[in-house]
Amino acid sequence: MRVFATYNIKGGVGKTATAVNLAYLAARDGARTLIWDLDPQAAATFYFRIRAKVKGGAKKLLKGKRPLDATIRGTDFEGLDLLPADFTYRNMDLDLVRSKRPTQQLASLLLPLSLQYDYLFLDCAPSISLVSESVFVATDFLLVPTIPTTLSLRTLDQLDQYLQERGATRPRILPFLCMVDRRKSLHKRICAGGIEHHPDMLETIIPYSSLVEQMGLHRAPLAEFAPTAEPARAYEDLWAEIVNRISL
Amino acid sequence: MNPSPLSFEVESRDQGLQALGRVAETCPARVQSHPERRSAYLDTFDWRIYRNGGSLLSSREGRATVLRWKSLDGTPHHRLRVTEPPAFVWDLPASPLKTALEPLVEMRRLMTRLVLVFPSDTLEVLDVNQKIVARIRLEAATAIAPGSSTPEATLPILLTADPVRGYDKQFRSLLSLLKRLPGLRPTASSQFDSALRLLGIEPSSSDHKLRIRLTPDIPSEAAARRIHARLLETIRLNEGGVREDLDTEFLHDFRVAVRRTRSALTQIKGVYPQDVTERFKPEFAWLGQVTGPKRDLDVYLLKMPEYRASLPEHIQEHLEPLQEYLSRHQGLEHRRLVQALDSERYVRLLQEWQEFLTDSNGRGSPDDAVAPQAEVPIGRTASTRIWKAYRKVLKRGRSIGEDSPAEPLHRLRIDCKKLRYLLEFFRSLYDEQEIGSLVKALKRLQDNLGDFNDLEIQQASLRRFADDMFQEGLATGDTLMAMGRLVDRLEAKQTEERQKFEREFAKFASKKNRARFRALFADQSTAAS
Repeated sequence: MRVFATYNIKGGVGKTATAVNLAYLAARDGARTLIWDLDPQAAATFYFRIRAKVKGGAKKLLKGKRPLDATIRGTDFEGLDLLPADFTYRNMDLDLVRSKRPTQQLASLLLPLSLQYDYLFLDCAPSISLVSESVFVATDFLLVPTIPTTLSLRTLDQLDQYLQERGATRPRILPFLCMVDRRKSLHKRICAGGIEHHPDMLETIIPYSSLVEQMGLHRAPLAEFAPTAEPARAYEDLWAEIVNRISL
Repeated sequence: MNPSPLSFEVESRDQGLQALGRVAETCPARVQSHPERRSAYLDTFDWRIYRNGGSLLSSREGRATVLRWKSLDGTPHHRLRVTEPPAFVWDLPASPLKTALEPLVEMRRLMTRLVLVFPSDTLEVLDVNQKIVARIRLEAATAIAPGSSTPEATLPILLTADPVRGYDKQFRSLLSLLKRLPGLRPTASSQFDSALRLLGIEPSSSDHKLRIRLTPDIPSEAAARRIHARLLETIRLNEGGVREDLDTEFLHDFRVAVRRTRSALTQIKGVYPQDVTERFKPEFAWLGQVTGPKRDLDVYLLKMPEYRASLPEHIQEHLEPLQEYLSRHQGLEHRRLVQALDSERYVRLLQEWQEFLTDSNGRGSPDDAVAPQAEVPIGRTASTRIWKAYRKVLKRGRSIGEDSPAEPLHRLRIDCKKLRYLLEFFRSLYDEQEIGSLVKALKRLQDNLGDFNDLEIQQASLRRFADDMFQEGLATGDTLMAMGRLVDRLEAKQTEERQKFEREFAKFASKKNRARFRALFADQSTAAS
């Protein structure tokens, strides 16, 4: 099982849209795919029309008292399952602190899933906390949606540096530019500079589009309601590029 | 664990639609209807996927093709979305499905063995958020088998309830509702099974095994005819695939059947009238000969990936001209082969051979003399012939020392092959387990001898190809050097195989195996003579 996490310290940069659309495409290709909505705001869960409720909440789940297995729900799409969000996830930090090995806990919970799924997508809440640290430990590839502003690129640098200081070989960072408005010359300039500055930066650019926002209206991945539109195509390209990149 | 899908048989599509309607009255639901869906079951000519307990279903979904590999009991294993249905496993992108299929299917073509055409209606059972919590599929399918004598069959109409993970409660109440509806009978048989049964297809009997059932007391001539008839059937079955060059195994199986036919003609001595043996022996030798060049090129093309991988990465591309050379010649040799199959000589050979085998009188003409061994019970003939062939193998094998040249090893390989064919022809006359273990022991020795011989032929062929390519101006210095390195590697491997021979032969000729051969074959044959 390969584990991806969509992560950014900043909110509102398209993390959930990325996790939902990429997980959908992975499953459509034929991979057994699971998405875990770790964000108490439960956007991914909402997109799949699933109730954001986990019996016993984060506490029981993290203690291993309620196996993840029993919480998983099938989405409307073949091969794609979801572990729903729960409002108690907002206190996950506190629950982790109480466990014996706070940063390892998440990774060990995922172990039993590794035979059932080819890909796991962790959709993380925007923050830097004990939860993010646990996610880093459990993750192979960190997908970082980055909007083309100077501040965002600076944040990306900080994340890069932080990961390097941790010294571990994992996770590998896979940043890409999103919410790009090609009419803005600033965006164009920053895109060019961003790709130059970050050798890991994926080449696919996700354009700004109101269609992405409409996912909340349709409560479905883009490819389901606007399959030929530009952003849907962009996510397809992004997924193809990622598959190619990680198989190297 | 998670609940499994449950199928019901219904009398008519209308009855099924009524059932869907009844369910829709009790909960939010919507219907997705399709006037005509098509699914194709892909498998090899010899049903390798089925015989390994699986099925590979290919269906068009939008512009893509989705492949689903399931167990015969319906448990899904792998799914893969591709742009086109694959002709060979190597056409698939790297994926768990490819990895799983590769060892089963190997070089065989994935052919459409069965097509299901059906109008489909799916009822999606929803919750308050319009989320699907279960599905009920109604499928009234017609099965079509391309190239079968029974081309079409109407399958039982199935209503299948599919659970969605995590919604067990909803699924259970759906099932209890369905079970209460009139006219729904739970069924365990799948559409695939029903289709095979109704079309009279028996995939399990389509492997390489000869499966000739003999009893010891039937006359030798009748037994030989039965063996030859089975081999002729194999020749005919594979001819179409050979002509169309569907994959390399049609020709391979065709040639093996020809070789076995010749071997049976010469090894089961004195059962046919002399003139029959003399008439057909050279004809089957000819058939072996005219099909040889194409097979050789098939083999080298199949080996190319292995050749490439055996060289350092940076010189692998230098083998490209070899690949082109082989492909071009393969095309030429295939055309020559088809010409031979179209020839009067071939058509007459098969026709006359068939006539001889089915001639109820048993002989070409009434005044022919009965062959000396024709009436001897096959049990005795078989033991005599096997015992003789076995002793020949032992004698030749023992005469080979560490310093012996390659020649006696090649002869031993041929002796072993003859023995192997005899054991296979007469397998049904002996205890299955005993003879099975002897065949296995022989096979190990044959593998060693076969590899040794193969590696020698490969070196000689590569030299010949290099020469040809040089003459034709196809090979650069780089290519010739790369091929030279290949030959070196093959030579080293051949030496390795040669060094294994003494040990392999000793194992085959062990005291234990000798006692087994003696017990099975010697007593019967000496008792007769």
